[in-house]
Amino acid sequence: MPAAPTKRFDLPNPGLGLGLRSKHHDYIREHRPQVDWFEIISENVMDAGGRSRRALEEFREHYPMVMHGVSLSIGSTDPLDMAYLGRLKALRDSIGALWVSDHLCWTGVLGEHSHQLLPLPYTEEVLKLCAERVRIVQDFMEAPLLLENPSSYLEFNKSTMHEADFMSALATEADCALLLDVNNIYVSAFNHDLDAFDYVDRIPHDRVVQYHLAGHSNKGDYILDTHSDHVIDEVWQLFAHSYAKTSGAAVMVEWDDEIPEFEVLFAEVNKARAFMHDAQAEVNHGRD
Amino acid sequence: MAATESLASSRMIAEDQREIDALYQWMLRTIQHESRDEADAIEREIKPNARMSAMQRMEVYFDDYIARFRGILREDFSAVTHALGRPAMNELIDAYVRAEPSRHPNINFYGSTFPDFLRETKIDVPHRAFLVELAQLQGIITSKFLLHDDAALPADALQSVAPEQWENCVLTPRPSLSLHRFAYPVNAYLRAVDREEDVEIPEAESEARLQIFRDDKLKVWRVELNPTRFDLLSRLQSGTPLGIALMECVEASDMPADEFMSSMQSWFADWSSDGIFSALEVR
Repeated sequence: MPAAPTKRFDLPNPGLGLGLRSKHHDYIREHRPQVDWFEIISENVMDAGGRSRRALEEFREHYPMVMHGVSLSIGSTDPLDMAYLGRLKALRDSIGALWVSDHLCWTGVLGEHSHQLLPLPYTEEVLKLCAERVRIVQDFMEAPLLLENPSSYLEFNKSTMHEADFMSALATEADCALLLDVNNIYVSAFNHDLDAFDYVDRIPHDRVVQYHLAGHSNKGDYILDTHSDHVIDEVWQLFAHSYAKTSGAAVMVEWDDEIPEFEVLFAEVNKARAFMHDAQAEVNHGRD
Repeated sequence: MAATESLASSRMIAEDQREIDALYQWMLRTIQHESRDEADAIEREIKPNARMSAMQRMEVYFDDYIARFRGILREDFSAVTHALGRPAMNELIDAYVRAEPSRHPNINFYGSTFPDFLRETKIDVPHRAFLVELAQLQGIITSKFLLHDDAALPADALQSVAPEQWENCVLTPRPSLSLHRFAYPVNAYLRAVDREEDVEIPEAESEARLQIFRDDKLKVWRVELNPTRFDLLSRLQSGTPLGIALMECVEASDMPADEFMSSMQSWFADWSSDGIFSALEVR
């Protein structure tokens, strides 16, 4: 069994969470479901004062919140957008979010946003660039940043490193935390002919603070990370394999397209709970 | 493009990052323009796999990029899409996306200049003047959903002002209140589309005046105003003290003074209950 985690950055483990989506606001308001925490998309509320912000202000009184971003563009060659970071920090402080996460990717350059999570060339130069930027972000935010492994649909000929090794080296170099998206590992492994379990085994699990689980769309030649369906069995197995390497991390189910009724999502949360229980039992058995 | 050129000239790229910066710029442009004529460069930069060529792998990003913007803009400008039809709307969106890349981290703000693009594009747009106004109206509504608003004055706040202080009273509207004039009956058209009624593209008619605001339940309202009511609210919105606003409004209006006075009371009652003001100051 793996060594006990040591780099959780003193961050709490709030348990099992869900993405806070407007379709479920009324249900949450009425039923106060037994979800341990919610994740918000940072950009949807940091510059807006509408329904999502109002719901956030209301629900944060009842649930811990974490923030997940899509526009940090940590791998870009553009200067870091300090105004954006300022608004991110202000939002985190105003809602008492447990942590802030974003993706290991670039989203644009020359001040333009593609609103896509574009893949990085995994090279020593890009590793150095990302590490420097993560350190700046963490110094500014005065907190560890969680970086999520992205889904990707192409690889660069320039790449010289396995994605998991790049993440591992970056986490060590910049001393940051990881958000492990197990579905993304499955998607990228399929798209790039990698072994998903080997990918998991290369990740430094002592830095994994949060998990994402989601469904996807299999297009035959490739898999698209659509967050539009149930988590498939293979991803659950991968999750159990990974979770057993931690001594507990926050787990969240994502569903962002063709969003079902809340009960359907909650059933996925309970399924995750069962896998976490089994994984923990396996760890405990191994320690006997 | 001025902003891009300015940023490009001020960017300090470290020597060992120039290659990656060039790769990023190439890749972003290739995705934005679906540049299949970049086949050689795509083959050079992107690794194929057993199932997909380098071009096919890039095409996943081509498709996702434009689909994302089409989805957002067709939703924000649903009535424009209804009037044009989806293929023509897609053609316009594609041209807009190429001409004006997103510069805001939140994609929900992306359509803010689409009405201007619709006015100026060289693409042949049928009923252009009408569609520009319809896009302006839908853009305004979208912006109301996103903006930060101030709290409304209590409904009885106006009644607490002593009669002798009324004329020196200055009312501050909430940020979500705005007033608009349209040459076309775009509000009626939008209402019909929202109700899924059959509706023809209308001709320009007498100027329509709209008050648009968001209430405390975050619902956005559109109220058509007569010229005098619109004039009075415009003067109050610009910070004119109540006494002067009323006097100037009566002088400018065709409405008989007694009708104006009785109407004014119901207007203020509406404005109080709608909560369109956030502050009141007696100068």
